[in-house]
Amino acid sequence: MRADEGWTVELDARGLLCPQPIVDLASCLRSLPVGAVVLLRSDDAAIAFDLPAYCQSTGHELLALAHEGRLWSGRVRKLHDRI
Amino acid sequence: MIARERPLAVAMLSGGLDSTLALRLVADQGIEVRAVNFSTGFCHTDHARQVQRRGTDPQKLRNQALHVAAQLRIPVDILDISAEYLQVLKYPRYGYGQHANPCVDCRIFMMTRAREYMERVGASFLFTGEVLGQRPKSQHRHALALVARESGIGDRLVRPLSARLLPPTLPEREGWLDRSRLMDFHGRDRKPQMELARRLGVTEWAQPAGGCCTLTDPNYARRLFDLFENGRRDALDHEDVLLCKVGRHFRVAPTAKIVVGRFEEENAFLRNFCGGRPTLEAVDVDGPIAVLDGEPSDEMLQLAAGITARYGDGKTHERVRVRVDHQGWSRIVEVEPLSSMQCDAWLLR
Repeated sequence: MRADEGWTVELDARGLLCPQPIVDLASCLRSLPVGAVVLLRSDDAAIAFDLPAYCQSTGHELLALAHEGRLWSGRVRKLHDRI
Repeated sequence: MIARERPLAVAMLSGGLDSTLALRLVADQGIEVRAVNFSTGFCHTDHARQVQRRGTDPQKLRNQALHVAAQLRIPVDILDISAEYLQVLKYPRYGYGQHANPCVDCRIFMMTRAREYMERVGASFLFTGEVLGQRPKSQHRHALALVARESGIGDRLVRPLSARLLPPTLPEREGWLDRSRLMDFHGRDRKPQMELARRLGVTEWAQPAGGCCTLTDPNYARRLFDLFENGRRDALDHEDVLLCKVGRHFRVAPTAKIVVGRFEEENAFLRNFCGGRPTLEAVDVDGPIAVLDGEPSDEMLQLAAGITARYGDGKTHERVRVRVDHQGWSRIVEVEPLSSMQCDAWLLR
């Protein structure tokens, strides 16, 4: 199954303690079809390192990662169903 | 199960040196590996992230298991086992180590979860970075065998760093792993691991083995056992665990404890994660945030306000006004700051 272009799910992980943002992201990705995009919001500064590492490890695509002040936003596209 | 050209194995990956080396030893034999990392709620790095002190290098706060998995292109799953882990902590069948670390029960619990994960993903075996004799409580020969047996993993569990000192496991007997390419490390000396790291080109790793668990911290253990001694063993919850990590702790009554932040980030943490408990803060002068853990009676609130005032800029004033916030209401309590001697009598050291 492949999601339509533009299918984006927002995941608000602000205020969550490490490693919950990544745990929730993984869970969210598992529930979505290949091609879907998750927009993750987090105020955990180390997400700048953890989100690229998660994507590199699992093979999902990191589309963007940016921050405004302490708030980070990352967009991840699900590329497969393997993990 | 899908037929595989090469076996799939699951690595228990903390991201420290030992589990990283174990992963390399197995992956370098052509085994397909995926990793699992457990979040127990008692990791020092996780706590450092929760109480981010100004000026801390964010690189030091990264999740090391993710970092290692990314470098080696190994898929990793982080599993949150913190809720179940509390039960292990409250009633460890094999007791505690030097502090509040229930190492044997912890290993059995994690290994059981890892075995379940292994079965779920259709993997053939599991491996860890454990080293025979490295830790007195959980890594002597008998404990390693006990953990394998009690977790139900049996001889599908490989310890690549000490494999040649242990009985051959199923993956070795089946020829999936070449035993001669595994190691015979033993004891607490880290030089063999350093030498292997150099040989494999592993150049960076996290804390020394065993250094990441809050439960091995004597101060943390004292606070946790204080809760147990004061009737909170059964009711221990996630917020108790978090509160034990921060501030000065004053046991003022069997049913009441006051936690006072020591620096700005701890104050912010206490404000955010007080879990519905009353918070206190001086009104007219700078000072810490305090949390009252227990019945918010007038007597306890007065006491908590006196301690809060003692640790603020108004400690030499005759009277200090302290605001109490609790579940949507606020009130001002005016108190005389308590003396150091009074506070010290209740301080958990």
